[in-house]
Amino acid sequence: MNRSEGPEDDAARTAPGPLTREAVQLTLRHARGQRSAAILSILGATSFAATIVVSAGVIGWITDRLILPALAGTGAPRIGLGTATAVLLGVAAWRSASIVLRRSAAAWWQLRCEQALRRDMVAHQLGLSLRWYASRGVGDLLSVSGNDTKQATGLLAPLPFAIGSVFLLFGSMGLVLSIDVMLGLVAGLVMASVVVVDAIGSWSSFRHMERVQRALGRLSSVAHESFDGALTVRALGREQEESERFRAVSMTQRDAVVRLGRAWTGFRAVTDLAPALGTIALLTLATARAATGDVAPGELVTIAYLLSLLVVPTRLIGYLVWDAARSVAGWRRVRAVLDVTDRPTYGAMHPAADTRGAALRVEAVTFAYATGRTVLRAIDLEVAPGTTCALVGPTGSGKSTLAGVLARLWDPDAGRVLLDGIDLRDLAAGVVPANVAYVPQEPFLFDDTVRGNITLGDPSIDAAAIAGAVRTARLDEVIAQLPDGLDTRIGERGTTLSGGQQQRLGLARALARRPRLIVLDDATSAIDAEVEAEILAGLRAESERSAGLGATVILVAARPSTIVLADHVVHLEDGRVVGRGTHHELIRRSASYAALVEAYAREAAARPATTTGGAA
Amino acid sequence: MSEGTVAPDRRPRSLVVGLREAAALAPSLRRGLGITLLLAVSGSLGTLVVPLLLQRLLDVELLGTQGPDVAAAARLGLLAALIAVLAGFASWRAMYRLVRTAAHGLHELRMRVFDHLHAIPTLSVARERRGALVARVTADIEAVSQFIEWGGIGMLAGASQLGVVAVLMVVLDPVLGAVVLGIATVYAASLLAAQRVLARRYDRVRLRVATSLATAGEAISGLPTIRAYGIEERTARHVGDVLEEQFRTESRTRILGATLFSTSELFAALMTISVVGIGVSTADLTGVTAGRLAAFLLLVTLFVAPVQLLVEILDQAQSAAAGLRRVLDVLDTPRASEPEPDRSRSPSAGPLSVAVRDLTYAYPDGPNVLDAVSVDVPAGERVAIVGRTGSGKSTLVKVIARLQQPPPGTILLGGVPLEDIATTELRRRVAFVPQDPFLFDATLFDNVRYGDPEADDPRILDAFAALDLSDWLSALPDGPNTRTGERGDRLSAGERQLVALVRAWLVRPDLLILDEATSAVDPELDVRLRRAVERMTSGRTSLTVAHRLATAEAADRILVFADGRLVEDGAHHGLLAAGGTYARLHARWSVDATSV
Ligand SMILES: Nc1ncnc2c1ncn2[C@@H]1O[C@H](COP(=O)(O)OP(=O)(O)OP(=O)(O)O)[C@@H](O)[C@H]1O
Ligand SMILES: Nc1ncnc2c1ncn2[C@@H]1O[C@H](COP(=O)(O)OP(=O)(O)OP(=O)(O)O)[C@@H](O)[C@H]1O
Ligand SMILES: [Mg+2]
Ligand SMILES: [Mg+2]
Repeated sequence: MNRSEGPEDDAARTAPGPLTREAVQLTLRHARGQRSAAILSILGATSFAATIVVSAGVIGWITDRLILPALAGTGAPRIGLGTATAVLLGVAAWRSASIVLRRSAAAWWQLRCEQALRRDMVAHQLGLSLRWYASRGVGDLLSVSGNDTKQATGLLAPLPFAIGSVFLLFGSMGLVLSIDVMLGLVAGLVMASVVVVDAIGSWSSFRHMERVQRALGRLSSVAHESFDGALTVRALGREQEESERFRAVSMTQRDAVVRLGRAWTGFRAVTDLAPALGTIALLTLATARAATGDVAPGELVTIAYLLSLLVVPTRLIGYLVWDAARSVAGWRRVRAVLDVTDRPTYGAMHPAADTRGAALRVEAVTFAYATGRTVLRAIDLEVAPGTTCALVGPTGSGKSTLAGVLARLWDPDAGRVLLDGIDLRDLAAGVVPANVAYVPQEPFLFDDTVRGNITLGDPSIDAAAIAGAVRTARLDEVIAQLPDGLDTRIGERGTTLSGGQQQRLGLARALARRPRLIVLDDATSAIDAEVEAEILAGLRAESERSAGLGATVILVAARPSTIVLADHVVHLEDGRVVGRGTHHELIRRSASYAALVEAYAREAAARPATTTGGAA
Repeated sequence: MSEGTVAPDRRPRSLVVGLREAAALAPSLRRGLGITLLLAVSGSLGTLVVPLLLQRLLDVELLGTQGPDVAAAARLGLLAALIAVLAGFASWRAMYRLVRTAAHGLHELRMRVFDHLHAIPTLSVARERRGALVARVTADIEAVSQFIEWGGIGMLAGASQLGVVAVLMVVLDPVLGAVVLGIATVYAASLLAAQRVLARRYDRVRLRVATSLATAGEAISGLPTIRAYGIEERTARHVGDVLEEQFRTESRTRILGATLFSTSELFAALMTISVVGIGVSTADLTGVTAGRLAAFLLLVTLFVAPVQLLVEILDQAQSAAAGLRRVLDVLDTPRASEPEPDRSRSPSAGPLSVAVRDLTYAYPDGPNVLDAVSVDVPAGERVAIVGRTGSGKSTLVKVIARLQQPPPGTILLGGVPLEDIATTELRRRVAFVPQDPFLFDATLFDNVRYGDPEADDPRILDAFAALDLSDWLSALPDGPNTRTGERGDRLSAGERQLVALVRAWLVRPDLLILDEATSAVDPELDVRLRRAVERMTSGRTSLTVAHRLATAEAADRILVFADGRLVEDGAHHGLLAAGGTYARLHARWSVDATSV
């Protein structure tokens, strides 16, 4: 909720100069990506602007040649009704075509840029380090890729027409100047002042625009979190508090919109009024000069008409100025993400895979999260190919963190992790995922089919691989019950599956890749002991089938029945290795280890009149 | 009651119907609208100042019978300027009022939707992706807001100008005026038909927008998994495909809109042609003069200009209407059932008994997950629920906590049918802790306070102490102020469960439901916690779902589920002796207990 948002009022960043430069750069960026759409839309707009002039001319032409002769009897009509109709229709068709061209091309231009920006955003985020990712909220990032990209391309909507109308402006200015230079200069001044006022308005409201975008981001954050935790909200009856929390951000957004609204409507009223006042002043002055005979009365009409011609393009340019500022406000938030360079680096090496299982070595690994808390301290670990190593330790001792480091979700701050003797950071992109399968405590399932969640879109995982993985993970009995079997959709985060079913799907996903190193982070915690035993036995059997050595397995586990299956146990406490050996060795040697893993047995033994019957 | 999705079937609303409904839901949208309209019309009268001034200057001051009068012209100019300023002020107020109204009204609407989403059945919420839900309170409402701000102002100004010009036309020449208005009516009717086509298209656009957001959201939330499996590129491609789909739908719709609405030009030409044609050919009958016809043609241009603007706005309006429909659809989804205030009953104070009567439950479009389950749990009993994965344990306890809706009469708490208990009462007396508890991105204590907003720090510290967790708390770098991160990501899985447990403790429930609430906690701590929970629940009823059978051993009674049916029911020793499902599960489990 209190995420860092950069400086609120950075005067240098909101100065007119940089703002204008940024707006131009943004426009050029958009234009570079979509040249033909840009050119077509500007052509369409220019053509449309031309029709405005032509239409005015055509009406005059018809008045002169048809209406006046016919009605005022100033001679025979020089064109027939048919000709007039044809010309009017022709111009209308031209106008229609220009409109279609302008609006279609502009929409295409804008949407394409929006799409490209969104695509780039997501692709970029997917490459960033998890450390950076953890510092931003999903909802806020979602708002960047939704609202802000839209805003960043918003200036493309009025842009073509504004450019087209620049021609109109020059044409009209030329006409006015040709009638009276003084008049032209005054008119030019009025129109220029309109654009200047708009520019000043948009610069001075820029902070409000940024605030609106930020508020939208916060709104999206709170909504996302609240819907994500809907079940908890419901279970604890906290709907009212959630409502208040959302109301607070929604009100901030509302107030930001109103504040911006007050600014822009005010400026707009002024720029709407300026041309009218200018015209009134000119007309009054011209009347005075007409009284002395310097200006012919008829020219008054022309002045009024020409000024009205100037108004439309000037307004359009004014709107563009505002939209450009709004776009820059969105664009800055987009760029803040696109500019992040905190991404994992990759080397070029590939492991020489001469064993099925990978050899793993951890050397003096130390790791701290961004919060500054050191979670792993000088961890050393050696796991031979094909063996199973259990990581055991109390809650919060760093097991998951270590598992994440092994799968290179995190890079150690000091020390290194070697896969077949090669530092993970020296391996080429894609090598770690190809060799290491990591199954987290709570698998992340996609809103896709069961099959899609296993293959994750990898075409090289064939039906046989899926079937094998499904069998070993004991997912087969789950699939048998699903309405469409492997092709059943499971909902976002797998909501339609039970906790244990989700974990089994997570396991199957890992196994289907036939990884050389499997990192299971307590991946069977929601599965009953019976099924868990079957799964682990299946893993063993598979490894035995594959002629001796199978995959290397790292197992975060708490249950002795799971731990005994490991060749080697590493006991962690507070981010340090405090003991290693086999389960039985550790039980004998370490009181704290025994207390940890035998807690249930001891409790059962201590309970009066309780025997733990049953076969071992 | 049905627990469907957030998109009930019903006839799509038009923008007008939608706005009217929205105004009923968000009264701010309607407040002061009359004054705003009045201001807008006064403002648009300002556009007539310049032509009128021109006419006065020409006719009276310059060409008038008394000859040029400069002073009068200046006075006239000043008056015109004054009127223009007043009109400008009026339109500014109108614009600003509209922006403010829209912001306030849409805020209200947003709140309605947000609150409603927390009140409809959880399953309906779970069925829609988070990103798409978020779109309903952000992007969809933004579409409406943009329309009201930009389109609404244009519409106000355009419509007032249209009205003023129409009146002038009829006054100037009733016949020609009728012709123009007739053509306008025909055109308006054909626009309505076109709108309907567009409306469907824009619904599809809004759906695509929501899908893109949802897909992007999933790609962002799932980043750790995406990284671990090296599927960044594939995910990016998938998102790219969805975006391409959105682009295609949206651009086609916009092009269609541009094409349909470009016909306003032909319509304008038709008007001009008719006026010229009828004017010229019937001049003998009507006695129309050249000046009148010329003036009339000018009016036609003035009439057509706002029509073109309005038509562009109509295109935008369809997009807004589609957004509004998605917003209002949420509100059509019936709330999760809640007893009428006067019909609600409270179970008597103290521990709650739980009675399940022949409960059969299926998820929407799914097979029965619970099959004729009947069980009586007397008040104060500690019950463990065990069974293989997928046997329906979580479903049962969620139904008992009314997080999902059971058929009426199948569940009684303290003898009162579940559906007769008011929600606030239920939440105060029943606490439910799920397996993967959800933490909010706040401090540790704020998360705990989620269980009881009134709890002060000492009370929370007491709760930690009671659960034997004071040491853990003090070992955290920032203690109570440790930020837990989004979804609690900055804590370990076990630690998240600890927080959820303390949170439930604060509720001091009469019925505590733990659904594998300590599955990620280490055994030593688990045992300690269980002792603490036993102390806490002594005399209260508790239902505990657990795969770690130590919990079952300690319980008063064990319910064993298989395939949605209650297959065994009894205490530990009895069930062991019976040699059934439980005995088998326990044999497997006790490998742990005796493996040393
Ligand atoms: N993203 C994070 N940012 C900051 N601190 C974190 C983060 N993730 C975990 N921690 C802290 O690091 C410590 C180790 O966490 P880790 O998840 O590795 O523990 P664990 O041994 O897996 O525990 P568990 O058995 O509960 O899963 C914990 O104290 C936790 O609070
Ligand atoms: N939201 C849902 N929609 C459809 N089906 C569901 C949904 N939730 C659960 N199911 C199905 O209902 C069945 C029972 O699920 P439930 O979560 O109650 O099992 P469980 O006994 O708690 O299992 P576990 O021990 O794995 O948590 C499962 O087959 C599951 O696929
Ligand atoms: Mg962990
Ligand atoms: Mg469950």
